[in-house]
Amino acid sequence: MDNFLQLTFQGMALGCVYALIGLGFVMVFKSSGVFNFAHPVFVMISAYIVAALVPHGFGWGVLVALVCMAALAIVCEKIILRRLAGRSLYVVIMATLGLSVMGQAVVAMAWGVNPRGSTEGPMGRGVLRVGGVALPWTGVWIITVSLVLLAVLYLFFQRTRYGLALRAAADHHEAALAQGINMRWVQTISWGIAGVLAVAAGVFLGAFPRRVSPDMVDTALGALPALVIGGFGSLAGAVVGGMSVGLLLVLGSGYLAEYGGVHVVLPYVAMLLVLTLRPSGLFGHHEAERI
Amino acid sequence: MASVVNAPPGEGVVAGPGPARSGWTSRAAHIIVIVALLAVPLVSTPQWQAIAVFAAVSAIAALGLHVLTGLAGQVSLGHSAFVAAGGYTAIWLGADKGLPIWVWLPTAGLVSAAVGLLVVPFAARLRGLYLAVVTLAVLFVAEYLWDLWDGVTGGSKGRAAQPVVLFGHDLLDDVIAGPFMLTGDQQFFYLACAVLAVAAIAARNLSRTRTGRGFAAIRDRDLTAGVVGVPVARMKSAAFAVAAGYAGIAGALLVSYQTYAIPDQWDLMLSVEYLAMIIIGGVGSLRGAIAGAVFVTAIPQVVTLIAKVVPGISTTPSAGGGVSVDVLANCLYGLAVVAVLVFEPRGVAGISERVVAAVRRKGRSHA
Repeated sequence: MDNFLQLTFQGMALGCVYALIGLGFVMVFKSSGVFNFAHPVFVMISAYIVAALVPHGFGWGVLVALVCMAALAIVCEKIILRRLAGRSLYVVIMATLGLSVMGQAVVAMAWGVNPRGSTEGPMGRGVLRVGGVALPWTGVWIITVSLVLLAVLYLFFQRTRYGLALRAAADHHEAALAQGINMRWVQTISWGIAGVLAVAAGVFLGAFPRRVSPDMVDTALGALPALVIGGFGSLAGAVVGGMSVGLLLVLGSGYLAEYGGVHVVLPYVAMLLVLTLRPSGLFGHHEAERI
Repeated sequence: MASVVNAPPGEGVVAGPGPARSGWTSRAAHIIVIVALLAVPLVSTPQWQAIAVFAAVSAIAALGLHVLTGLAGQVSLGHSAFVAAGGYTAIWLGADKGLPIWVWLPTAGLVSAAVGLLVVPFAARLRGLYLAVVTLAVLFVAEYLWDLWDGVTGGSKGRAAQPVVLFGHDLLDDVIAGPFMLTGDQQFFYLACAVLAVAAIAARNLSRTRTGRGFAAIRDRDLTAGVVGVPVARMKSAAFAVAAGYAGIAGALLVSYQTYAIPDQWDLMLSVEYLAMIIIGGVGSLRGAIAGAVFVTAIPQVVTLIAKVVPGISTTPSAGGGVSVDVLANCLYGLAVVAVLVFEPRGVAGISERVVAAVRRKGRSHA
């Protein structure tokens, strides 16, 4: 039982990370219609930046990473993806995959392919004991900070003019333009927020399995089944999807160890199941389309 | 801004006195170009011969994506899984059962096409991005299966593949006849080119059939296609099956040329490479898909040549970082994909069309 509780806790922590990554995808997708396959690379790059700067101070690392990633995301949007607006699906997918390939190559040039140290910094390696259950402090930090971030995002979207503008823009592009909402500005803001979310996810993903490595791209890609399970486009969906994927991964690796790396494919299998039963995800809604 | 005035676009100025090219000369020119390209491996170094083989084999797989993405407008991130399915079928039939190439090559295509039909339940319900994510799931599940299914795949260490034996002769053995020598690579290149030619003609003809027109209809607007009576789900499934079939044949040839196969090689990166081929070549262009395959396959070798001239590029991959050939090659092809999409969406095919048009205009103005 203790083991189960412990794994569940870790699964929830990992689920929070997936929720953050998934929100990074959703932010960009809602505002500019781009499904950013380079987002996992953003996550990896921020983890590398923080890991490289940890000796000089964790706070500095996070600060530098925040500035760099927000800037990188905005630059990608302004220079490349804005020019691809309105083109076919494969164009946007391939452009972001091309960016992803480039990003991975640049990281390999700068830091090599060997795993680097972790990004846990002040989160520490200790455990918090509650009864017989040992909860790693990193997990506690991840869940707390993620919940705070989610709450801040929620308040931003629901209670501020800017959040309202972003929601309006996501809802109906042209109607938002007619209301005088500056779409360029909306897209810049959303890509910037996605960059910030990538840093949070990168720090947590680098601290939780305690390893910063090129594999993080594949790990972060696990947010895709999370999004599909939850349904694109709702905050609740991203959180529920992220949690399910985190739990599947951790419980799968805990209890199904004799089947090799089966836990890695469990989220994808779950996603396929959800897609056969509810093609637009658990929280998504089917949209009628005009021909 | 005066230049805008005297630059009429493209075909608007055909009325000049220049000789109209007859169908015959154009066909002769095509044949000369093709023969010249086929002769290249006869006079090139072993490294380039290997590149030529890999390019020809990858072009077959890229043609599959050409049908799927270029003709039918669907995106697949799981193409390397289908290449692997064909490769392992060929290994099982060729190496384990000892069957000849006449059996394992077509069967590899058929089995892979059947695996491609696994997406059918999803093709009927999903579109666009969701379907692309499904193909990604297929890729990851397949990767896990290759690792697990060590009876066929040899587990994570990989295993030896079947040789190509034609009329009792192992194709990778050199043939020496008097002063002439045909290396194994060259022989394999011509085999791959023969298969590629059949594949290319089949793909071209497919685009002109009822099915091909159906593909075009769902590419342009699947809802409209459904309204005018195109069976959308069946067309999508057919496109996936055809693409997987091409991938399977390419996989069978690939493993037999490599003489081994390891599960790690069928990753997302390989899928992205195949997609990059059709993007760089120009989506929807058959010749572009082949040109793109050559381009993407040749980049590492070109970078190796550059590394001899430019200091600071190491030719051996290093785990600790630094600019090495393989990493730089990846960076360049990622850049090529992005650049093509932003600046010339029709890729190499579009660029060559522009060049030909410019040369013709120039010829006319001198006449």
